[in-house]
Amino acid sequence: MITGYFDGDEPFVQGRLIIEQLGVEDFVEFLVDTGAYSTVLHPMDGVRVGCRFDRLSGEPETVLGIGGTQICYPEEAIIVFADDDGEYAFSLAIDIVLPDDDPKAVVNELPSLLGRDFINYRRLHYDRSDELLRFY
Amino acid sequence: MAELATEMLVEERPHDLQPIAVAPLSDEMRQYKKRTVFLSAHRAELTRRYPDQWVGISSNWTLVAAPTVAGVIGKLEGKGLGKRGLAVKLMSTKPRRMIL
Repeated sequence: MITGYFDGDEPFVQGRLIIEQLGVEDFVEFLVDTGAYSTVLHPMDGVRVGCRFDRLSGEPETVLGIGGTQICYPEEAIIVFADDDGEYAFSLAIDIVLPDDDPKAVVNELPSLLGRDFINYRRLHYDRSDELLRFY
Repeated sequence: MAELATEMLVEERPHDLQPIAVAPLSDEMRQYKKRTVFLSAHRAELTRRYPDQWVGISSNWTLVAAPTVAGVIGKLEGKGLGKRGLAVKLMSTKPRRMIL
């Protein structure tokens, strides 16, 4: 069981993100987003974890979102999630979004997302009223 | 027909995403969660103190604030501290409504 939490009304789960080829090995909070096709590392976290954006090797893809389109760079990653007893490592491709030069740009404020490429393969218990967010 | 449908559903059902490794919970992971929970729990107070700033807590619980995430990291580095395990959140006075 992987346990998440609510920050206000936003559901989060945290994990250790490892993207060896980009020099990333640090913790990230992911917003659990059933509307997201894939798991996404947004600039706020990319900068914080020291992602080597200059080493991106995946073919860029244009992705449609509610606010327009974004360019994402897919990279193979490992995400380690935790529960009270242990840590569980999963291998998946993560879409990486480059930071905008304007520090006030909305994209620089977005949380990273845990998308359906993970959610669809687990059972999710989501109960805001009881503060329960669990993946089985 | 029902049997055929069931067969097709079973065949089309995606494989479970199984963990590739399992390990005991590390103290580092536990501590990171404590820092993120602290930032959430004290959001109102931190927003009053650091309006519209990014507030970070380093792995040794040093709290810094700056207008950008890079600024938070820069301040930590100025204190000789690393950014590994840094928990950071924007203390926005007018939180954006996000539809992602």
